Amino acid sequence: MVTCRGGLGLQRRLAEMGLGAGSRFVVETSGRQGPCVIVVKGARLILGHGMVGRLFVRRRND
Amino acid sequence: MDNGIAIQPTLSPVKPKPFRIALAGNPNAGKTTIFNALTGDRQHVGNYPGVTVEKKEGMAEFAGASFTVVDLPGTYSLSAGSLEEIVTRDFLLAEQPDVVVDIVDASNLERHLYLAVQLMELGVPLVLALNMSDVARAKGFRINHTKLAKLLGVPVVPTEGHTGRGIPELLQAVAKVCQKLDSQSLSTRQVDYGHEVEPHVEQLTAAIRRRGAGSEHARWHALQLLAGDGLTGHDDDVNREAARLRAHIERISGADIGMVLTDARYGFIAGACTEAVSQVETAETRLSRSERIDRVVLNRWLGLPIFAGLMYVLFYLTFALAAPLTKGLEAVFGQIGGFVSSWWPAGSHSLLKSLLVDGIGGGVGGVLVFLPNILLLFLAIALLEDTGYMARAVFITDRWMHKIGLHGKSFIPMLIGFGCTVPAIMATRTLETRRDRLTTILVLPLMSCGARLLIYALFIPAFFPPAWQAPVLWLLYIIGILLAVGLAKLLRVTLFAGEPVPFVMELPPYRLPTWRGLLQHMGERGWLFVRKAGTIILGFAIVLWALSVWPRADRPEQQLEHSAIGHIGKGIAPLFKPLGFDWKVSTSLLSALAAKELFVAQMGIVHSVDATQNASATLRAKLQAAYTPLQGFCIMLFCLIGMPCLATVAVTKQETGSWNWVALQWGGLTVLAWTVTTLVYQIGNLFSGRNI
Repeated sequence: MVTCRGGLGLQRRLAEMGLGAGSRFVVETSGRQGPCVIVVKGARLILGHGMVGRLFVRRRND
Repeated sequence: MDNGIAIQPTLSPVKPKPFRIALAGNPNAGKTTIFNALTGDRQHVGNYPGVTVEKKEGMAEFAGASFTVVDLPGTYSLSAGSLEEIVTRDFLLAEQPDVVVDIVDASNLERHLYLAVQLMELGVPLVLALNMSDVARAKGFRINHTKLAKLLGVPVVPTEGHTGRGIPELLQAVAKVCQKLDSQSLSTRQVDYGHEVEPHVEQLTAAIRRRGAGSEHARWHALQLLAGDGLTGHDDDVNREAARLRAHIERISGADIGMVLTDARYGFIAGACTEAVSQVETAETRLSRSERIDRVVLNRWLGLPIFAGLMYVLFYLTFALAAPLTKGLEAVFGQIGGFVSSWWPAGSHSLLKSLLVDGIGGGVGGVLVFLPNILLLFLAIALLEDTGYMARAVFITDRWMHKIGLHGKSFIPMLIGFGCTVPAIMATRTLETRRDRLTTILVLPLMSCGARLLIYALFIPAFFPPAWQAPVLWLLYIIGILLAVGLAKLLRVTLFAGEPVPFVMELPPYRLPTWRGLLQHMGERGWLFVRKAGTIILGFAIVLWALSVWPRADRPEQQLEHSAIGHIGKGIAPLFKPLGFDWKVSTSLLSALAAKELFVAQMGIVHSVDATQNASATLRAKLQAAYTPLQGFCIMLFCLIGMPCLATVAVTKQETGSWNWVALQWGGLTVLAWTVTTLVYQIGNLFSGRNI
């Protein structure tokens, strides 16, 4: 994950849940815009609709 | 972990004041199971002052020492991001418990230690409970507790909440901290924020110490002020200094300071975990089981049908199982009414009898007969929550809820609303932002509840041929849903404008619920409903009763017409003329303010139907004679949309904390009902060509 577009509150909240800039996660289930399930720091999180479009990520294949 | 020292029972003749333990932890860390294991049945539920976050307290005893245990709300951090976080933070600062037990999911250590680090920074006496150690072991984590305790500088106790393993050791560690036998609990280890930030943190800490306000938790105050987390009570100099340092740090680091601090904390945690935790390869049974289930349950094609099927079963069972219980309760209330009536001679018009039987019995009893429905619905919801399916339902519904400006978490309350609006409004507690919560609460009464079904059951057969009955009923439900959708969208562009806040939510692993947990969840909510709604309903029921028996009429069948409520009903009748309602309808509507199902009873009274005959058939015949099908439909439409019942009013006030929202909900929906019904009646009249 490279960065996130959104208010400061949102960014901080995500960072506190382990989704800060530079964090790595695995995408488990995904829709185009819609909710998706990711695994970050051992926990599975649901990203709600619209959340996906705010995250800018770089793919790693390891 | 040194468990060798036994605590000597306190032998002092004066019973010492109990020590106070606060339980903190992330959601899904197993806080409730630990709380139950610690306190057994000695617990009670209340609310934190001023807010609707539940507060649970219980008692525990260990080796002669007694403890009061407070279960704090589940939070991910101590920043002021959510109501739960603020409540937790304020409680810790104001109440100063003797020890804080942070319950941590050992199988998800890194994430859960974030709160622990913040608690260490707050400088409260801390004991770490590594809960679900068995799960962690199964996942292959090997945690060196002694090392972790040393690295964090706080006592660490492995526990298994569901088996009770580790609980005595936890209490022992807590007792040691309380009796000041363990100096380790006040951690001396702290996160080092690096050479760019740390000197400024210390600078601000020193400034706060000098000023006095917050000096007990000076470093924590300094960090919160730097992050701009809305702490009050500091003087202008400190606030200015904090703002200056914040700007300075952000300029140097080129990043938001909140993120800088969070990164440093996670860095500290990652360091501790690398040293104290190793992972060996195992079958990872639990996670993969959850993942396997989710592959089906969250599947793009299967997810929705499975969800719909489950909801159908849930509702079917709730209503099917509740029906006999409701009948039973009605019979009991009837018996009580009969018993009370028997104190007076037959045909007596005693006011006291009328107050007890019609006022209190009719009003409160009318609401309490819904208790089986509500309890069963709560039980079903507890089942969905405790198994972990609720989070999946949020995921599945999020896509379409998003289209009306809400998100998946609003779906559950709306669903419950078809049963009863009261628990539905209470279920909105899971929504994080106030905007989402208020939007959902305001439109919830449009979900046609069980009580309104009674009205439809009377009117539809009276006015529509059998072939039309099901479609008309269906139409009413759809109208409610469509209006709710439209209203939610409208609120989203006006009062609660702005993009819906996208949410992030943890997907907990599937668990087997325990009966104890289910009954506890059901009981807590059920009791809140009975107590809060009950007291207000009782008050209003008495007021409405008084208005309906005064002034007294000579003949009982004219009582309602002669009463204050009858006069008011006639007075406001012109208002309802455009809707096609006569004074009998408007009077009945007034009486039905307390609860929708009272409308049917009141229509019976104003149309002088003797309750001893086949009441509903007689009433239907009278209705047929008095009104056209269009009027019948309009009456149902008005009951569907307008005038949310008293229980809804009470619970909306309780949950929003303000009469303004109650007024907006009640007034808004009633105006909407009036407008829609008028339109339907007037346009309908144009086509039918009949007028009265």
